[in-house]
Amino acid sequence: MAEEGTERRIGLFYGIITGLGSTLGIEFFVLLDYAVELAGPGIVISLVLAGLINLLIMFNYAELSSSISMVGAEYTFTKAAFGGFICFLSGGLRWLSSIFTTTLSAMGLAELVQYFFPQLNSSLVAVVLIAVFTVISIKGGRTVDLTTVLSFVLVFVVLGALSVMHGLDFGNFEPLVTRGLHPGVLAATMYSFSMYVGMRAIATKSPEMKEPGKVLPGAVLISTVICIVVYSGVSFFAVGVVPPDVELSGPLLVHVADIVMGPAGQLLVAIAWTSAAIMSLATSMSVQTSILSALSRDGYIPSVIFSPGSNSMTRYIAQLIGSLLAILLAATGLIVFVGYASGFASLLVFAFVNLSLIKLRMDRPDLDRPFKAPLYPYTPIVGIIIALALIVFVESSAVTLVLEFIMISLIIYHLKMMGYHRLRVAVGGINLGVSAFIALILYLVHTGTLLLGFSAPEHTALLVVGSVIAATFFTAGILNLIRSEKKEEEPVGRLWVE
Amino acid sequence: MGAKNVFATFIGIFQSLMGISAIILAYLLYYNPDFIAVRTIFNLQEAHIAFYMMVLFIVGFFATISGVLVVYEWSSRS
Repeated sequence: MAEEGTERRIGLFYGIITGLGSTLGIEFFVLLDYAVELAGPGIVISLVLAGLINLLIMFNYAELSSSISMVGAEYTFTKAAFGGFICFLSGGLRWLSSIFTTTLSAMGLAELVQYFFPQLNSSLVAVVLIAVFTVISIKGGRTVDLTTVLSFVLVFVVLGALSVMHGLDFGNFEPLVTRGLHPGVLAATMYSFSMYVGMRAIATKSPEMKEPGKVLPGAVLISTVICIVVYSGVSFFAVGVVPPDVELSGPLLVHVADIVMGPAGQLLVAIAWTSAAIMSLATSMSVQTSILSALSRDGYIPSVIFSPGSNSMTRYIAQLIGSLLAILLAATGLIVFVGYASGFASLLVFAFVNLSLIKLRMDRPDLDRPFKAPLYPYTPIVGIIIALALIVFVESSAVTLVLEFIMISLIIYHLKMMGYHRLRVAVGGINLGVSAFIALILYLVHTGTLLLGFSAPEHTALLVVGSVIAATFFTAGILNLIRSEKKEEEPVGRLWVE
Repeated sequence: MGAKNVFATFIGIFQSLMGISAIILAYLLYYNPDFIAVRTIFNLQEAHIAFYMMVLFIVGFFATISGVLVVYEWSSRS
């Protein structure tokens, strides 16, 4: 099943660049230090394990993306499998997580800018960065992706080569599993898993791929292998240069670069850090647009955001909505909170997608699947277990925020399902109920049944004001009821009608 | 625009303003600023503030939406 009006222009090369661009992001810089603290020298094993688990799960994505090659990725998968509220929620959470990632990337980059220019306000810098990258993203993200991926990889190749020339202390790796397999290496595997999560952005490009059945799994496999090599390689050099039990005053990679190259090394890491933040920004902005377009296509949000075959106004509106929310979040400066919230939203979506694969395999065995995930059903089951296990590490305030978002989504969904006609009837009825309730209270106050302890003038004022309010609600209720006309509602729900 | 439409628009705007006022009052209850100490004026107990705020927010939000719907139906589509 393919999207109409979308040009298929992405081949294997740009598919790999998309995978690397979305995965080699700011998470690596933010999460590496604590992961090393958890696993010690075993961080190399943890990163390889996390990469392999991610590869298995990305094959699930590849199967779904190649068989349902439409805009919207996770949202569209859950729509095909479940429809209704789950798909709406899945799309909403994915969109929210992209906004969090945009914010996180901008804040991470802003922190680096502030490290070199302490007089600047990091929140303000983050806001400006989001605004600038919104413009760049609208103008075209391909150039940004390719350039930043190449610069990122090049910087770490140079850093790795200079680390070898400086001399690695292999004594730092003995014993390899200093903090045990459990929780040490496994905890670090869980924690560093977020470094690979960005890979799922490849799925969003499926509608633009020439042969999704071949290009998608190939791009997933090659870009995951490259990421595993880069991550584990950099952590190997880092541990080889700096013993894991040394107390550091700054980020591990900056310290390593300082040892092997001096101030020039710090600059090099700063370049890589900047590249990573830029890649995360560009990718998350692209995903935002994709998800919002799909929600609009299906009538959950105003149709002006989605217009097939057009790439002018549609792109601007979808991008601007997400960027405005990201700017608001960035202005708060709560980087840790945003990081946790982003992770939690992503994990929920992850679980939904894996469930969708199982459901579609059972419900639609006849579906054309150009690529099938290996080791089924273990791969989606492992995906669900990992997603649920990682939720344990999420901070409670971030859980609360995302749960609030779920509640708001529930309200919006049911209002949409209710339809405009029924909504107006309901509003009219509630108005009448409120006015009757106010009238009852006023009657009880007037007869002295309800004592409020007011003076005589206050008592009179209360009756007058209360009567005006009751009359207004009553009139508004009548006006809502008599003007409501039943209209045909746009169909919303499953991707396939049985 | 006929008299009925004008009347409906007036009611809609009035109800929306009531809703916005209720939400503003809820904020004033929370902050209780010096220039208008709402808690003191209404002699409210500290323990009941959260309840009053919740009621004011719900009623305010609903009144605003209802008023907007009335205005939209009776003015824009007349």
